[in-house]
Amino acid sequence: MLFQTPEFILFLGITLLIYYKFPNLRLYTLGFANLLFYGVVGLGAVILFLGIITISYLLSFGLQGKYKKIFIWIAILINVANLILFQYSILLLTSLEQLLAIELIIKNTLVTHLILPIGISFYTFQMIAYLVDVYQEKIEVCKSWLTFWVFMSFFGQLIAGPIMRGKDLIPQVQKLKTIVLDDANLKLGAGLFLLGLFKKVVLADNLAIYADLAFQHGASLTGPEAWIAAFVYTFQIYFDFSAYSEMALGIGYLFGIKLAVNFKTPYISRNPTEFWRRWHITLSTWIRDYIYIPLGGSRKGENRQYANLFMAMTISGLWHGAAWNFAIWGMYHGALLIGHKFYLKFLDKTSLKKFANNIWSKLISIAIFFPLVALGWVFFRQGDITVATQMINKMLTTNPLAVDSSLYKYILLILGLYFAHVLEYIAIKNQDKITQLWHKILPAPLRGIFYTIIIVIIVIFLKNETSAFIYFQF
Amino acid sequence: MRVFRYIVVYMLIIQFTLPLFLQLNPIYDYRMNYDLVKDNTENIDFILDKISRQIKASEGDYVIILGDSVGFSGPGPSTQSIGYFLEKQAQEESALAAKVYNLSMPAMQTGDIYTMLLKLDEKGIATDKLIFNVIYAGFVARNPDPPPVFWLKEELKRLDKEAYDHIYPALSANGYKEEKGILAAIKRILWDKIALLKYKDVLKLNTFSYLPFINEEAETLGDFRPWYEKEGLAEMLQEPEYLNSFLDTPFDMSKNNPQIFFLEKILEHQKGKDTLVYIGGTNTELMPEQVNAPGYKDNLAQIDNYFMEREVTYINFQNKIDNQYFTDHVHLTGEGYQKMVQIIYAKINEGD
Repeated sequence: MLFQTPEFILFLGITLLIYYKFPNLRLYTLGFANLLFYGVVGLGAVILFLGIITISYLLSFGLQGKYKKIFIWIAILINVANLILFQYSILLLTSLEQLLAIELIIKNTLVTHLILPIGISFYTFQMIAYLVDVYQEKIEVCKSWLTFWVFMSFFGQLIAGPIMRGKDLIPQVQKLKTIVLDDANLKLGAGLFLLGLFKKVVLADNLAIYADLAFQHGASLTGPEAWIAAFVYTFQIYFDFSAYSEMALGIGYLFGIKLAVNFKTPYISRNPTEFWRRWHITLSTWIRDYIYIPLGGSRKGENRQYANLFMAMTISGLWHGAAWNFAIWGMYHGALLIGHKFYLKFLDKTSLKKFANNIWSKLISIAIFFPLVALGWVFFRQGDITVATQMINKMLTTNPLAVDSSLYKYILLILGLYFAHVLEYIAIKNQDKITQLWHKILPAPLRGIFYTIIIVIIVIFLKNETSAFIYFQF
Repeated sequence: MRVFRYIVVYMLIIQFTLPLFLQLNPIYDYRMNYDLVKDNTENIDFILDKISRQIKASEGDYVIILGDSVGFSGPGPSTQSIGYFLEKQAQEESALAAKVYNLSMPAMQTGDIYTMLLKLDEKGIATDKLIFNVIYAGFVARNPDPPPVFWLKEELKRLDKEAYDHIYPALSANGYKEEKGILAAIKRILWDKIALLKYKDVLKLNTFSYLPFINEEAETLGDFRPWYEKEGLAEMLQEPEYLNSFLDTPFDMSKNNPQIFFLEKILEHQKGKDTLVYIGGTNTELMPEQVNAPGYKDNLAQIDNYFMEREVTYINFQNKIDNQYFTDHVHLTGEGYQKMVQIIYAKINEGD
C-alpha cells in the first residue's frame, strides 16, 4: 500500500478514527494497523518480519546480563544474515562466479527465487541500532512484545525510514494512551503529508519521465545532455525520497508521534560533510554511530580516519542495493569527504580560512559542490558501470559554451527546480513567521480553497499505474 | 480545524458537480484520445456518457464506428481519420447520419468490439447504424498472443460473465490475472465512486486545454508519411512479429477460434440492424510474398464467404486502395482513409 494511493488514505483515516476514539486500545490499534499495512506485501514477508522481530526481542533480554557479548553477536548476526540472504546473496554469488570463473548459482534453486522483502534494509538497521543501544545500556530493554512490535513496524516509517532509535520512539509508543488530539499536530501532520504527496506525485514522478528516458540512452548522450540527465535525476531522487520522509513525518504527527527529520534541503550544502548532515540524516547518523565510530572514527590517527570514512561510506552505498554501482557511489562520497578533510587542513595552513564564512565564498562552495553531488548520482542511477563511466567522461570534458539551444528549456527547468529548493530552505527557516502570516492574511474559507486546489492538482497528476518510491527497493 | 471543514465542503461540491463541468472535446475529437484510454480504459465511460447525452439532446441520426488501429485511422491525426471524413461527407451531402462517433482503439480485438457493444447498450446508445472492421491477423491462430480481448477484459467480465469464462483460458495464457481480494475491491470502489479519482484524467486534459502555455500538438500514433518515404520499414516488417499476422495456415472458422466466437456474438447483437463490416487491405508492394501466397488468398476468401452469408454489408479493401496511399503494410495516409470513406459511403448509399 503506497502512501499516494486512495486506499492508503482510507486506511490512514480509519486507523486515525479508531486510534483517537479508543485511547486505551491505541497500542493494539497501531499494532494491528502495522500488521495490516505490511500484510499487503505478502504472507511470506510478514512471517519473516514477525520472526525476526520476535527472535531479536527474545535475544534482547540477554543483552544486559552476564553473556551479553554472546547475545549481541547472535542477535546482530541473525539480522545481518537475514539482510545478506535476501538482499546480497545473488550479488555475492555472481561476483564470486566472476572472480573464480565457476558456476555457483544453479537455476531454479531457493536463491534464485528469493524476493526482497520490502523495507528490509530499513528495519534491519533500526533493529541493530536498538540491539546495540540496549547492549551499551543507553536504553532499557523493551519488555512488552507489542510495544516492541509497534516500535519496529510503525507503518508511517516502516518501508523507507526515517530509521528511528529506541530512545526516541519507544518512550512515545509506551505513552500512546496519554497522547491528546492536538490541533497543531493534526495541521502539521496533514500539511507535511500534503507537501510530500505534492513532491512525489507532481514533481518526482514527472521528472522521472525525463530522467528515465535520458538514462536509458545514457551511452549516446552528449556531455551537456548527460549533465541535464544527472541534474534532473538529482532533483527526482530528492523529491521522491524527501516526499516519503515528509509523509512519514506527517503521519507521525497525525498520531501524535514525533519522528526524526530525514532531510534539510541538502542541495544548499557547501561541502560533503554538510551534505551528509542534510541528506538522509537518520542513515548518515546510523553509519556514524554504528560503523564509523566502532571502527575507530577519528581516534586512531588521520590515515585510519580516512580509511574508516571510506569504508563507512562504501557500506552506506551498498546498503542502498545489491549492485556495485551503489558501492561506487558510496566510495565516491567517501572520497569527497576525505577530500574535504584535506581541503580543511589546507585552509588551516593558509590565510584563506578567514574567507570561508564570507557569503561569496559560501555561494561559490555551493556552486562547486552541487554539480559534484549530481555527478555522483550518475553512478547511483546508471546500473551499468561502463555506461556511467562514459557519461561521466563526457560530462567532465564538456565545453559549457557549446550547449545546443534545444537544451535551454531543460536548463531553465533545472534552474527553476533549484530556485524552488532555495525557497523550501527559506520557508523551513521561517516556518513560524510564514505560518502566522498565512493565517493572518487568508481566512479559513480561502485557505480551504487553496488546499482543495492542491489536492485536485495532486489527484490529476496521480499515475494510473502507481509508481513506487525509489527508496522502497532498498 | 475550521479549514478541514471547508475542505470537506469543497470536496463534496466537486464530488457532485465535477462531471457537469467537464467537456468532451479534449477527450474525444473525431475519435477517442488514445493516451487517455490506453492509460485507463475506464475513461471510455466518460466519453460514452457524454455522447449519450449529446445524442439525447440532438435526437439526430448517428453512426457508430468500432474497430482497431485501422478504424482509429492511425497513425495520422484525427482530422485525417475515417470518423472525420465520414461525418464531413455525410454533413455535406446530408444524405446520411449527421453525426459519426468513432469509438475504435488501436489493438482492439473482436472481443473488445463485442464488449463495446454491450457498453453502448448499457449507456443507451443505439447501434442501429454500425461500422466495424476486422483484420486478417484476427483470424490467425493465437500463440497465445494477442489476447482475444485486449482492453476491456474487466468490462466483459461484468457485462457477459459467460463469454468471459469461455475466453478466460486464452486471456490467462496471455498473462492476464484477475484482481482479487479485499484491497482490490476497495480500490475499485474508491476509483469508481469518488468523482475526482474517476474523472482525474479527463479533468487533466480539460484543464490543460484551457492553459495557453500548453500547446499540445495534434495526437498521432507516429510517423504518418507514406510507406515509401520510411527507411527501414520493409526490413522491420520481415520480423516474425509482423509476419505472423499473415500466416497462410488454413483458418479455423468454427467457434473454437475466439475471433469467430466473438464475431458470432457481435452479429447476433446486430441482428435487424444496419451493420457494415470491412476488412482493411494489405500493401501488396510491401508484403508481396504474403498476399500472393495461395493459403493467404484462400483464407481471405473464407472471410469473404463468412460475411457474405450474413445480414451485413461487407467490404474487402484488398486491392481497392492504391499502394501509394499506405503509410505502412496495413495503415493508410489521410488521403487513403478519405478514399476508404468514399468507398464505404458509396456502399451505404448503394444499400439504401
